[in-house]
Amino acid sequence: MTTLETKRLIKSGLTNFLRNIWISIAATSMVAITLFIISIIIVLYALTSVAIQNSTDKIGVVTAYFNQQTTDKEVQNVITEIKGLEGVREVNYTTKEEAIAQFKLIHQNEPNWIESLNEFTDAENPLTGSIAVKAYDLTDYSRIYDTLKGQRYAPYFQNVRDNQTVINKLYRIIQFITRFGILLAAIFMVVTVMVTFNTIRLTIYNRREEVEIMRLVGATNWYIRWPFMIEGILYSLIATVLTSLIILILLILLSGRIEQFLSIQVLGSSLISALFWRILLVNLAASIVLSAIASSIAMRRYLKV
Amino acid sequence: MIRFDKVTKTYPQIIALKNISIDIHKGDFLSLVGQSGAGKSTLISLIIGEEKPDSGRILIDDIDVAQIKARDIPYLRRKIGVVFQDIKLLPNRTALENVAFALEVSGEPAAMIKKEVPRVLELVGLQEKAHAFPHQMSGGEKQRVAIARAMVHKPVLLLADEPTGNLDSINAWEILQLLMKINKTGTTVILATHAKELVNSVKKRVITIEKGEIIYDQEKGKYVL
Repeated sequence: MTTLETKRLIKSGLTNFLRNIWISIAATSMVAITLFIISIIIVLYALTSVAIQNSTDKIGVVTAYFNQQTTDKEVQNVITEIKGLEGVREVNYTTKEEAIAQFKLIHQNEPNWIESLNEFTDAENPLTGSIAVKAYDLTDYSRIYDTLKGQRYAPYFQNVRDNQTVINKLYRIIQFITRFGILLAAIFMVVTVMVTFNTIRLTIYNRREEVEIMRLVGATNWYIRWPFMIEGILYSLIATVLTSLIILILLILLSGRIEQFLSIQVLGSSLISALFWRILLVNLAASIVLSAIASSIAMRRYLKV
Repeated sequence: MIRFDKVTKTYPQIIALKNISIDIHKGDFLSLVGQSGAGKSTLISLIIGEEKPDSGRILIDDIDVAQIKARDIPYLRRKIGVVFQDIKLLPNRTALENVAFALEVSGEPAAMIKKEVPRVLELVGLQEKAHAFPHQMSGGEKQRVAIARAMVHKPVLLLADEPTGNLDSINAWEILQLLMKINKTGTTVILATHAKELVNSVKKRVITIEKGEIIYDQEKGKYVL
């Protein structure tokens, strides 16, 4: 393809686009809406992932509270033993004294709480030493929990807690977003292909005379086809640019609120820009694939060359 | 130059051409006559590769059009000019642009287009109407634009399928004169028509087709149906 021909083809594609400007706008909007939905899914997925990672560090832990009568020696033995368990990454020991100090710190503005704590003698102090066990992998927690809950450690612990329900909840959210998102995106992709297909079909119909003459005077097949491909690509490009811009603006405007909502310190411009580029690429790829499918079907069925 | 070798073409329930053999020489002016539906248009469709025969060969300069690959058909059509009864001009383009269109879509450079288009418009006598749109021209003028478009590739063969079908007798006469002028420059012309007076005035080879078969093939023939 020479530059001259390329120029003529692009011009012809542009003419197709502009000649039915309202239909073109409708098709472009349809592509844009689909891309917007895909983008939102990507954003939600990325943010939930960040949130889960973040909260895993906070909540991904099994906490076991020692009995009052467990001796310091026993505590040390138990800690050494647990450190050796499979999947355990870290065991943090909080002594009874630290627990009391923490309690006082947390409730420093609530004198009633502090007073009631002072009612107890050391021996009957309800706050006990505890260990916080962290695992390498999220899936290890339930096993660690079961072990600590089991017979072996029953004499030492009065209570074992984990945050499995919270973790599970987060997982269900991300699963829901993924499934629902994919379903929604799929529906919109199909609709987009149909709308784009119909638009190109209309252009082919409008230009049927021209196409017939082109064939008669010896235009090659690709020369006849390319303007319709270019028309489809134009829908994609415009929709991609539009959607990506809107998403970028939304990301910048809403990043503060998102951080607040997910209680993440900083989303960071690096995350936003990484997200933006990913969205741009996915949008571009998705829209070009969609419009290529649509124009190919339309041309195969309606463009006799 | 063109040889139909035992060509048969059928459509569902219609035999359009039945075992046809014709030899057409370079520089010939051939009139193809017969009633509507006799098979004239099918013959032309076969020459430009628009249709494929059921059997037989159609040789143009030793190339069998029946075997030609789809992607080579455009190049065949640049060697053959075609004119139709319904003219087929683009309504939103001027005469000049309509002719230029044929070169544009074949990827010819702008300089060449600028040079060639006025040349063929002059050939058909329409220099003054170069910037007129089809609705501003008479039927005869439009057909001459179509002929200019067919000739702009400098084809070796000009096919005219009922070119005068929609024209009054004076315009029809002028178109015939134009075709004969083009023929004199060396281009082979095939004129499919059922205009009796025109054919009789040409005094060149006439092939008469009826129901898909050649019933007469005469040098300096007449319209005999």
